[in-house]
Amino acid sequence: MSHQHNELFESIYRTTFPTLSKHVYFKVAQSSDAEDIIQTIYIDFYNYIVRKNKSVDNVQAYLIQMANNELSKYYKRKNELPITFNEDKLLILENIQVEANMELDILNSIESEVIYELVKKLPIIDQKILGAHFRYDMTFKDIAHTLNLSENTIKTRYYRALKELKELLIKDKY
Amino acid sequence: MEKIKQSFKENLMNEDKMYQTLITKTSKRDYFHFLNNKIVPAFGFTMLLVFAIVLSNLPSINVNKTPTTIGISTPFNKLAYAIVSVDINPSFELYVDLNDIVIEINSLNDEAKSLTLNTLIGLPVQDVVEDLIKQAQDIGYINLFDTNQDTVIISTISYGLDGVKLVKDIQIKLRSSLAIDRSIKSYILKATDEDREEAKRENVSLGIYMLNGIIQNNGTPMNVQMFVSDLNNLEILEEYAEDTNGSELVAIIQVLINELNRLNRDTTSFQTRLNTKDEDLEELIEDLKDEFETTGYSESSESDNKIENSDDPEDSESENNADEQEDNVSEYNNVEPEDSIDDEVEDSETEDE
Repeated sequence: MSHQHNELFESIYRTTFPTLSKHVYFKVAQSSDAEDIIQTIYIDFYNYIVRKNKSVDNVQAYLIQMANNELSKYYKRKNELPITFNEDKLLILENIQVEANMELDILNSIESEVIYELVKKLPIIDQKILGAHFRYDMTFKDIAHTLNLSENTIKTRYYRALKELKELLIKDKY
Repeated sequence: MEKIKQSFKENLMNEDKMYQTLITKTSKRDYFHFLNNKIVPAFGFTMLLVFAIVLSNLPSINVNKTPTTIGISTPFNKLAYAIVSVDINPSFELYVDLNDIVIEINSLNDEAKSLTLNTLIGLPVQDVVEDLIKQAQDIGYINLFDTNQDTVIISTISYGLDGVKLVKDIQIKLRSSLAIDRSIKSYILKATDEDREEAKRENVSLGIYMLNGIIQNNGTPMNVQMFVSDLNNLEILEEYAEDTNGSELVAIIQVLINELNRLNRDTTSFQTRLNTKDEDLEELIEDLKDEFETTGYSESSESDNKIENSDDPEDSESENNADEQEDNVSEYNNVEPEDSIDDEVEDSETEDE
C-alpha cells in the first residue's frame, strides 16, 4: 500500500466504519461473519477504488451499497435469510424489570476478555442487544427500532441477559 | 469505562484491530509494496519472473476468472452489476442490474443504431439478447444461408451478479427460442473487467477482443465473420465457450414442451423421452423444434405467450421500467470515463440509525 493510498484509505475507513459496521452488525447473526463481511467490503473498496485512483462522491452510500451486495451473497451462500426476531417468540412471562446494578457491578469486576467469551454463550438476540447497547452506545428505543421489536422486549431481554451472564460467571467459577 | 463496555469495544467490531488486519491483507496484495519492502527473497523473485514468463506465453485473457469488484457505473451513471456484450455485428453492451434487468444499452457501432432499443430497457437480459438477435435476423445482419454470418458472440462480465446463473439463463433462452432461427449459433464467453478495459483501449468490442484473444491474434482484429470462417478458430471457440450442461438441456426441453402444451399439442411422447434414461437430450431438442416447424408456429402465438407470461408482477414492473427508462439507451460515443462512479450511489440506501 503506497503512502498516499494508505492515508486516503485510512481516512475513508475511519469516517465510514462506525456506520458501516453497525449496518452489517444487525444484518447477520454471528458477529464474526459481520467482521468478515466488513473486511471483504473494505478490501474490495481498496482494490477497486483507492488503488485505481478512482473517485466516488458519496463514499458512505457506495460502501453501504457494497455491503448490501455482500450481504445478499452471504445469505445466498449460507442459504440464510436476513435475521429477524419474532416478538411473540421473545415474549417473556416474567415481564419484570430486574435491577441491573448488581449484575453490572459483578460483571465490571471481571476481566473484559472473560466477559466477552461469556457473551458468546448467550442467545443471538441477547448478544445483539448487549452489543448494540455497549458497543454502539444505542438507547433501548434505538435498538427496538433497529431490531423491529418493542422497547419493553428489548429492556426485558437486556436485564435477563445480564442476569444470565452473572449466572454463567458463577457456574464457570470465574 | 465500565469493564463490560470495554469488553464489547475491544472485542466486537473493533475498529483498530480490523484496520490492522485490513492493512496487512491489502499490503499483501500490493505487488509493488511487496517488492519495495524486499520481503521477497531472491529465490522467490526468480520464481516470480519464471511465472511471469510462463504467463506471457498464455493467451492474454482469462475466460474463467471472475472479477472481485462489485458494481460498475453505466454511461449514464447508474450502478450495474453485470455487462453482457452482444456481437453479431451489430454490437451492443447491455448493462444489467441485480435483478437481471437491462438498465442501459450501449450501441457500439452504426449497425447497432438501426435496431429498436428503447423498448428493451427494463426487460430481463436474456429476453433482450433474444430480441436483439431476432431484430438482426429480420433486418438481414444475420445471413441464415451463410455459415460465416450466422454466429453470435455473447460475452459476460459479472460485477457482483451471479455470473453462472446469468450465463445459464441466456443459454436456456436462446436454445429454447422459437423467435430466432435454429441455425443461428451463439457462443457465450466469460470475460473480466480487465478484458473490457483492454478491449476499450484497442477500440474493439469485448466479443471481438475475446475472440482475438483466444487465438492470440496480435494483428488486425478479426470480426466475428472473419473469425468463424476458419474452422480451426471455431474449434478453439467451442472449447472456450460456456457449455450447456444436462440440467440446462432439461430446462430447454421443458420450456419447449410447455410451449407445445400451451398450444394444445400432444407432448406425451416427448415427456416420456425426457424421462427416459440415456435419452439424447440434444436430439430431443431438435425433434421438439421439428415439431414446431412441421405443425406450424406463428409469431402471433409466441407473442400471445409473452402476454400470458406478463401476468408475473415482475414482468409488468419491467414494462413500467421500460417506459420510465427510455432515455437510458446510449451510444458508444457518449461513454463517460469509468471513474465517475459518483452519482449512481447517491440515491442508494443510506439507511441507518
